[in-house]
Amino acid sequence: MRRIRALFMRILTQFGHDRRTLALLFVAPVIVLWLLTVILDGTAASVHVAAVDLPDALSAQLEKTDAHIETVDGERAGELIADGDVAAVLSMDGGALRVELEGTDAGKSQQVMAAVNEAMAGLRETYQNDVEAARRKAGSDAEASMERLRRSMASQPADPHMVEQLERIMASSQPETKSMAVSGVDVVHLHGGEDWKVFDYYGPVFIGIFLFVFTFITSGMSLVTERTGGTMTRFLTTPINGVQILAGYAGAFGALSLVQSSVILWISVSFIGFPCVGVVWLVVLTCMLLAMASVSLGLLVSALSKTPFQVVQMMLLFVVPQILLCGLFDLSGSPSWMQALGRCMPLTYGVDVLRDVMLRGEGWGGVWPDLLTLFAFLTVFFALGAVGFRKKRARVRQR
Amino acid sequence: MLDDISLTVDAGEILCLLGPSGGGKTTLVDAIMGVRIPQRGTIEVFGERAPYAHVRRRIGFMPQETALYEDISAQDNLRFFGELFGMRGKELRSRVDELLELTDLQESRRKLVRDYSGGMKRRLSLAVALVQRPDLLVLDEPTVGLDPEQRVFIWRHLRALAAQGATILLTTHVMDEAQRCERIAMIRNGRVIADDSPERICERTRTGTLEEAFLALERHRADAMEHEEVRHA
Repeated sequence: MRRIRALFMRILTQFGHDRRTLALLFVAPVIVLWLLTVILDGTAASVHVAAVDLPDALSAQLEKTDAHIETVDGERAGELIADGDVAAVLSMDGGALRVELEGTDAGKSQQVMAAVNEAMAGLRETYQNDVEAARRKAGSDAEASMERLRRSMASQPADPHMVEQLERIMASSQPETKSMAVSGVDVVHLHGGEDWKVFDYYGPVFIGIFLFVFTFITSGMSLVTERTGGTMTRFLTTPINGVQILAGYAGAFGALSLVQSSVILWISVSFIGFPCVGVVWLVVLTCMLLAMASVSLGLLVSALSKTPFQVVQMMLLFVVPQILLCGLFDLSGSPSWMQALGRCMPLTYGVDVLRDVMLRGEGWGGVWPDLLTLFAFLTVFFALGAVGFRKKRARVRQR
Repeated sequence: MLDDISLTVDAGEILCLLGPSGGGKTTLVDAIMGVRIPQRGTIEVFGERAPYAHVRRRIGFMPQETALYEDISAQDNLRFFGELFGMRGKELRSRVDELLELTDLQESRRKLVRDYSGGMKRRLSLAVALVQRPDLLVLDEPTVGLDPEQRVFIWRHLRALAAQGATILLTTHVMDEAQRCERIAMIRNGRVIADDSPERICERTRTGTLEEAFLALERHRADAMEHEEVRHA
């Protein structure tokens, strides 16, 4: 225990003297998170569309959407779309609206179509309202003339048969009052709210990814540096054993991630404006478990690399797939084997818990199975790392 | 790498492993330190086989590289290794002070090791090797790249330690460095080609310096091998 503590203190002291890494751990994630919020929110509002000779009613509806509409002539519109300055050109083709998409950016195309659909829906609604009003007016006009007729007939005796016939004619000319099957949309949010931005869904994922990547690099590198600098040999000539070395490392990096995740969370929730519905300690605990799983993976993998450069290469192999499959991208449409592969990676579980807690406000009861899985990953990596260490100690070092 | 080496070192003795680079000195040292396990054969220190479960505490090691943590201070390095050897509290503090005094690093004890000069790092590396008061001290090329003053400094300390009863095993590839030892084991291609005092080696090979002796032994061995081959043919 004393040896683990000595190692723990030494690693933290080393970090204390290394300002660059500290900056990397705290400042870099915050800056990147902030940049991402700005970028992701920016794209949501500003799709540019050129409009050529559109009916006034449609133009008015388009103005109400998020799209930025520029009214130009046909020639100018051609130039704009060719230069990529607008995502689409809207024009009239006979009675129909013609939407010419630039088409390289599928996201922008979707935004254009969303705006067009919204405008068309608006147009339809006003049209229906107009029709309704006209019918109601026609109905009340007919009612009035019927009333007049009845009154004039009451003043002079008339054939009752004729009155009945008149009533029948009136009834058939009554406007139909049947309306559309669905007349409007009421939006209710189970989680979140209308003011939530695109980035809010990805925020927890990025926090998880940052912790995972940074701890992987720093822990993997410090062990490799120890090996190349010869301190590992000296280390191994002391009574410390592999398990103690790993425990010291995991402990120190776990503590570091505790501070790191607290700082990142605090800044992103109170300054960048991340939503955090759930309890904070659960988020921090998840971050710590995630970071410790990353340390043990980093230490395990660093046994395969001889230089810090190779650690980065190993990261491409061991971490990048995790980033792709962890939930950053929606995998529900991808093949089931790929989803299963994602379920074999610690980052997926960490990100799931972060989303559940930060966005859906889940408590301990809802997330403990995922946290337990994360802990199992940590244990397995740790055990493998310890076995690897024992082998490394015994194997003849290649010159 | 190593082939049929049999050496026994007694307490209070300074044994120098002398040989060209790539001759197997570091391999032998790593095997002695239990960092590397030999495929065949055994190594025993204080009656226990490598890798040691109990006597590790009694063996001090100064590797060829400076092998210090550059981003912490000198005293933190000493403290860290002291704690790994199970030292603590007052005992550790006074030992750290003592070693910093001994290696003349008292004034820059709080400096980060990365700001140290090569000679200072070497001295600190020696101090780290001594932190747990080892009975056996193994040094891999302890004086390589040092100026004469530093070299004399290290040698003076090694002699003093031997006089106190410590066993010292060091490697070098510099011939006149080995001259200072009372016993030399010459290593060439993983074999011990001579194991004696410098004077007796020179005497036997009828040469004036260890360098000439080394070359003479080498020639002798080559001749013998050729002879062997002729006989087989």
